[in-house]
Amino acid sequence: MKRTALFNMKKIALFLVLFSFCAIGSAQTENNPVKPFRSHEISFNIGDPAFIKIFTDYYYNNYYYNYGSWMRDDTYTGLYITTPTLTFTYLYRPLKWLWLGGCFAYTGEYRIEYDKFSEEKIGSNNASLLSLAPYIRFSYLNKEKVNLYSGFGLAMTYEIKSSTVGRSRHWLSTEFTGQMTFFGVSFGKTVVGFAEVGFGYKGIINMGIGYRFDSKKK
Amino acid sequence: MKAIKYIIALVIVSLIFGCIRQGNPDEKTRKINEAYYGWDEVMSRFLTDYANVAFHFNHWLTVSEHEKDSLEDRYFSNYKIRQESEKSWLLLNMGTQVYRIEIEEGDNLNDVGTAWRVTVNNNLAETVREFYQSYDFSYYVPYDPLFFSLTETSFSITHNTLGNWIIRSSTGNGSSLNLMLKNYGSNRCTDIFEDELHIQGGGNLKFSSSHLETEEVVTLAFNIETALLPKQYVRLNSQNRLNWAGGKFNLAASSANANWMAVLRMRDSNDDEYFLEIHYKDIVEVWNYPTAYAPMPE
Repeated sequence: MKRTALFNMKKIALFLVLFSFCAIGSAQTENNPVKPFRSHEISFNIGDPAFIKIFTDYYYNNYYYNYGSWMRDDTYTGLYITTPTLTFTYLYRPLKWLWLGGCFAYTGEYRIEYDKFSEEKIGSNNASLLSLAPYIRFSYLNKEKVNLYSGFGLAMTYEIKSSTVGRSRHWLSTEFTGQMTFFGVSFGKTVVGFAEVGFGYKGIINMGIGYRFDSKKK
Repeated sequence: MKAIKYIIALVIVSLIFGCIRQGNPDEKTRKINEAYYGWDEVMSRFLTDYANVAFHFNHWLTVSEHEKDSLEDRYFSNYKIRQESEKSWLLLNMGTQVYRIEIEEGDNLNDVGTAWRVTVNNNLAETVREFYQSYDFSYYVPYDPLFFSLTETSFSITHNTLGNWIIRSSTGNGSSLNLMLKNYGSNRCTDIFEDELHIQGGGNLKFSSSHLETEEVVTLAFNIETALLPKQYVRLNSQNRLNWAGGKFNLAASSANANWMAVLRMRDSNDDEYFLEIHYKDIVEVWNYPTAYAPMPE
């Protein structure tokens, strides 16, 4: 008797789930009739440089300054410029909710080093992070002029560092990194604005502008 | 038009996102102060757990049988004293030898001409080390003193002239101490902290760091200009802790790639702290140290 009741409950639950999916699909079809959407998007985003800070702070503190060494140089970082993270993205939209493409991100850092005693400039330490990443975006609200979305991408990040303190030196290293966009919103139909919250090579918060177009005229 | 406004907004945002900062030099003598921690660790540990044991044992050895028990409880509560031969004693902890004390010349360390040799098991005489590890330093000290890195460290102590003792120690890995202790209170000594001892001399102390990105060995060579005045402020976990009430010494640090020299002067202030004055490249910075580097016991 109990097993029959449980079986019936499961059937009801399954029915409700299927019904809810049908209702959502029906609602989307009726309220948001499928409209031709633009298949391509190029965008330019500006984000905070939190990501590069993780790389360069560790590097400078532990390698260049040899933090904690009793024999470290008597120098300090004076002017310290970090660019925002600049991201160029291209996405192709094969489905209404699916965007596939890639990103190129750049962040730069420029540190001028001074002697602690003479206060004279003795050189600079520079770093550039270049990330190349395939990227996938899922938009879960697809109004005509508003999209809400999330996304992620894995990246190969190239770290190019140079120093003119002491003798001139260059380093190149590569890391696997990524981007997780927890929440993103876009406004506009052809020219679109973006705002995203996430973490990775694009920063924690980034904003941008983009252009959506079709490859063929209809 | 909207796009232009948005681009302007982006430029403003980018200025916010990008960082332009102006760093300031931190304390110019910070690295020397950090090296002082290393020097102080070796000196405190050596004088507390090594040299002072010789004076304690001499005290124990020279009192009557009746007094021996109370002194044993006071100085060697963690040890069993075993006479190895006529002129040699062992201090054992859980059956393991921690100290070997050998009389080489004379008998009583308070007699001029007496010479002793003390050999210490570095792994077991680690009370100060434990203390240093448990203290929450304001910054990380990534060096290990090589003075204590071998299994044993031995030193000789000689009563040279009345009220003057010479202590010499040299380890197999290049560290050495050559100290002269003078008691201004009397011609005998029972405890480095309780007597008015002044310390002269110098040494070479090697330190190794495998914790840094680039492993390095640093030698701290020091030469005492004005006698160091050890001072005991508190008893922590039943261990006497060394602090400095005065003194001045030259400290030269060298490694494979760099070297520097500074003059350090300790100044007594009050029961809660003492001052360390560092003279380096024509500047002077003063650091204050909490006495005993630990909270006062409740």
